Amino acid sequence: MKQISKQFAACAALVAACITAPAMADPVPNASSPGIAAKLIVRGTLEGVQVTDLRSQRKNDVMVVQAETVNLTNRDVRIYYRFRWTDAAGMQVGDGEVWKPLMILGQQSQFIKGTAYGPQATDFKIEMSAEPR
Amino acid sequence: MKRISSLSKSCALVVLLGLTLTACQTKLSQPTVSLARQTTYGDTKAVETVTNEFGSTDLQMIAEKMVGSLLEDPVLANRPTMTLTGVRNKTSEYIDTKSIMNTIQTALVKSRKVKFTRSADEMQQGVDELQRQNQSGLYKAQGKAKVGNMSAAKYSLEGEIVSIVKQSANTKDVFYKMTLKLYDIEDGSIEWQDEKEIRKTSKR
Repeated sequence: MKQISKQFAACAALVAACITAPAMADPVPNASSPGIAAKLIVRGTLEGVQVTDLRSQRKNDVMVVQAETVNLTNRDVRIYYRFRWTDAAGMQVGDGEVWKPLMILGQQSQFIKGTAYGPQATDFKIEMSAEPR
Repeated sequence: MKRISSLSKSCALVVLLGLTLTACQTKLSQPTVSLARQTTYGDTKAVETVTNEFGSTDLQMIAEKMVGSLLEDPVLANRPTMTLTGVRNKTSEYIDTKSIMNTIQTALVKSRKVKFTRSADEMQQGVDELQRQNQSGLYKAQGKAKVGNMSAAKYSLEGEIVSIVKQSANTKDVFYKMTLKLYDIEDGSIEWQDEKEIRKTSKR
């Protein structure tokens, strides 16, 4: 009886390892630094895509943000993104942006850019979602 | 032999259990609208890929790009007056270009960076109201809108949308390009211009 339970435990460990293996194979963090990560709202994982650079400036008194995304895998990944703009009190500015699709080929880098709806916007977050192709 | 058989049985049981657990794991959905045989209220900001004809996502992406580009430009520094003129539809589809321009106008008005004057389409209603206030004899002088005080637009926003369609036996590729120009009405020069390109490919 003891032997059967040992065998059962060994098999269970093997199956658990197999089930979690795909998740373990995707260790790419969504952002290259904690500062960038704080500006992202990611649904699940970015499937190997990483935001490596994030910068913002005010042009004509309107906030403009640019992020560089890099696909660190060899697979093509389609991401969906949109910017969320907030005012000094943390309230949303505008009605919310449309989700924008962007195909990033394996090992490719792409810029994404957003412009706030007006001078009221003082802060932002980037909402992202990804699907493997 | 008995031991091997019991080992394989227990392994099969665990594998079955593992597979059942895997099947129960829910995948995250994507912000897309897919063709489904039911009606639901969906996310108006989701990426619509029901067909590859001009759709809501194209309209919204064009408007966002144009508004963002205009707001960044110093041409809007002193809150100028602007009016809308037509957008020529040079595609093979019916596209309500007025709707694109209305979305752009809404965002620009809400930004408080531009003042829009009545477009040619909207002028008659304004003239009718002015005549009613000034010629009907119904209104007292105080607070009456006077004739001759309308602000003229410094700039006019106009453009065109074109498409290139390529089709093979099982693939259809549509390329849209929307060009928008901001003309200085007095001297006729272009003060700002931008384009938005969209490629949509579908397979049977």
